[in-house]
Amino acid sequence: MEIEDDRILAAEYALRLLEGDEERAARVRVLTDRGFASEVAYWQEQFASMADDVAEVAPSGAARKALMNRLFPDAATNSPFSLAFWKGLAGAATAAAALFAFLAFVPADLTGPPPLFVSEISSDDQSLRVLAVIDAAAHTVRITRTSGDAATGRSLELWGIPADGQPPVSFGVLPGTETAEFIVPDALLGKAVGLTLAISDEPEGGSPTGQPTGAVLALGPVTAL
Amino acid sequence: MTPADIEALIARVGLGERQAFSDLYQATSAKLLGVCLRVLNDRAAAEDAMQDTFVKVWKNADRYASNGLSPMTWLITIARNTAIDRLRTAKSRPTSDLADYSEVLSSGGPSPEGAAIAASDAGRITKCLDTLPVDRKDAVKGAYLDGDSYADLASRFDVPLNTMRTWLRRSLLSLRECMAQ
Repeated sequence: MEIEDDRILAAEYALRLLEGDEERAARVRVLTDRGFASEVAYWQEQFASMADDVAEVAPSGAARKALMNRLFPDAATNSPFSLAFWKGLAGAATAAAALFAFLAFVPADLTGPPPLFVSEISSDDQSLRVLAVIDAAAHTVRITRTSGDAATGRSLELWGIPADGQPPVSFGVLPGTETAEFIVPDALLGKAVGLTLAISDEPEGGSPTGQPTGAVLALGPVTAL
Repeated sequence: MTPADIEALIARVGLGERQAFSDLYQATSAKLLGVCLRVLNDRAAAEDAMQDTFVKVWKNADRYASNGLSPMTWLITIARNTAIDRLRTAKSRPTSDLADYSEVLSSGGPSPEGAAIAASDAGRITKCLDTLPVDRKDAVKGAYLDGDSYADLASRFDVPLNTMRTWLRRSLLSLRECMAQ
């Protein structure tokens, strides 16, 4: 009977039927009683299949931006400074130097707008033309495709080529839509100055190797707005 | 994405990889927002709960392996609990917010055997729910999907709290017996 009671208590707890002191007491059991925790996990696993029927709802772009800013405030607030930092010190990235750069540039940059960079990525004959705006504070790249499309069964992939001679880094595959937003990969953070954006022709779904494998169709230098 | 893909992403998030976090968000945020929205019935509140969920995921992904849950169950459980905490906080007293998801992150997770049993049985509940009388099935589903407590269910079905409690405990017992078969 005791085992049975525990099993039901575990289900009640997993369902969140309990409130107040009852819930707190059950939580203590989860944290201290391995058998009980196991029974709670069993129910959680079972109950979760009820979520199969829950419709997906795409979150707004603003929600992701707010989340990223919240989790990585250093990246968001430091990026204007780290750009200046990289420009001036060319790679001496120690925590102390970064802090110094941060302190040194705070007064000037706090008043200014967040840094934006733009790029026109186009082929020589303009058959493929994509405009990109990089928001260094939000770590996003928004693109608008004004002409061109992937060949049948192929994909277009967006790359960033850093000025420091490091290999290209993928932002991802361009969707079929006219506009899209990408997140700036970690490897390119703080490297907007001197960056070149490129679009290559890749197998459907993108390069299998992590590096461009097909023809580079369009290039565009990144400039500060 | 397969569960193995999601699990691999969670493992990389646990190592602090922001790109993996971004990919995980891309792959799962719509589902988790759906779960939060179902509980909260308010788009702005649901997006906030979804964000809080991902903050917890970022901070606790390195402890995922110890809890024995499948990756989507782990994410959905955090999302659901976060949404319910928000719902109940809004309704009444403030609760400790970070302690409220400790169960899915606790080191006192299931034994390996327990986890294996949970995984092999996953989905059996769908079949077993159908063996319950319709109103009881609705009560269990309402509790899970809408985040109803005993008190909420009692007022929804217009029965005394203890009646609802007895009712649901019997249903859970039948479910457990059915699932063990």
